[in-house]
Amino acid sequence: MTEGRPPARPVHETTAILTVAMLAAAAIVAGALGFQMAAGRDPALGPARPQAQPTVVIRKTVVRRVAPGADPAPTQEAPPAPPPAPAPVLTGAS
Amino acid sequence: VSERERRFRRFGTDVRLLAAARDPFEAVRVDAAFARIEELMLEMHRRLTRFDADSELSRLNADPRAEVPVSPLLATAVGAALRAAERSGGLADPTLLGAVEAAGYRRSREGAATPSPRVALAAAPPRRSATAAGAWRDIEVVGGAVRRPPGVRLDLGGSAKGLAADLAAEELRSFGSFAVAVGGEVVLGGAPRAVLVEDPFGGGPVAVLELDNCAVATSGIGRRLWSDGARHAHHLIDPASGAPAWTGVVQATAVGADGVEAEALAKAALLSGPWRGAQVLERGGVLVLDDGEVVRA
Repeated sequence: MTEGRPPARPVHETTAILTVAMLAAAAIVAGALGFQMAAGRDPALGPARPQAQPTVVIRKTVVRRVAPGADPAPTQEAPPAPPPAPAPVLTGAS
Repeated sequence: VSERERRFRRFGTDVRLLAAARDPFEAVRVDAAFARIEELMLEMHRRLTRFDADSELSRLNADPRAEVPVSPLLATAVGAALRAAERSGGLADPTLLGAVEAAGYRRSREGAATPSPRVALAAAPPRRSATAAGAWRDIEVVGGAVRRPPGVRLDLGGSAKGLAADLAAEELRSFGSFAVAVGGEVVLGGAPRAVLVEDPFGGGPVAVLELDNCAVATSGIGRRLWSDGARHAHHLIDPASGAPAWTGVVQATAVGADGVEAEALAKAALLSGPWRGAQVLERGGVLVLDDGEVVRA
């Protein structure tokens, strides 16, 4: 007895399967890209470059307090040192 | 203010220069003045020494002419010697070279051994004051020449040292305070300064004088004293006798207006003896007698 060819699927069923598969693949790719861009690794811009950190300069703050009231008394200058005494000299028979 | 100092040997004795400098620039000027003084004293020594036959003084002494042209420096030195003779009443007489040589002082005694003054005094004749003779009155300085009787020879020793101190003082007078010591001849300017009077017998200072703007000089027998074995002699000659004077004063220190005057007064005080010597020291001074007594005038 001769077997006959299996019956072919209907066209509309095949098209539906392909469509679903393509949509699933596109969703996977889009998800991966979205995840990568969220992490700052946009494949169109290349790898992320480190940003320069701003330099922080710590300055010492000097606080001057001005006391209101009378002017302070002028500083007494030390008297100038007296000039050294002239060296003694000797006189004798020569 | 700091005081600059320079020491060197000249005229057979120690020379000491002192001058105050207010800042480093003035210190440079003081040092330059010291260098000029050292040069001047070297020139004075070359021209005025009697121990070098080629010196200008020796050539003057050997010249047979009555009037001899001389350099301005020698004319000035002879003039200073005549002023000293006049100021000392003729006791500091520059014409006694022959007598000094006859006493045994023909060559420089630089570095020579000196007998003890006490030993010399123990053997000395009795005290006797010296007397002027007046030979110096025959000498004149006429313009750029010295006029004197041929054969009269000059010894400018003491007065030349006084003159050297005076000329050096003129170089330093622009500085605030200074001192020039040419052996015992000292000229002072500016601030008061202690002057220590040496002990002729070798002890510590016999007196300290506080002086300013004047001169002080010491004449004594202790430094130029010698012995020929039989007798002792020194360079301070009695003009009248022509022999070393043993007056009872072994050292006299006199204050004067300048170095030449102080030196003349010191020599006159020593040659005058203890009593008249104290009167010679009219501006002040010190006598040391042969018994060790110190007399302040």
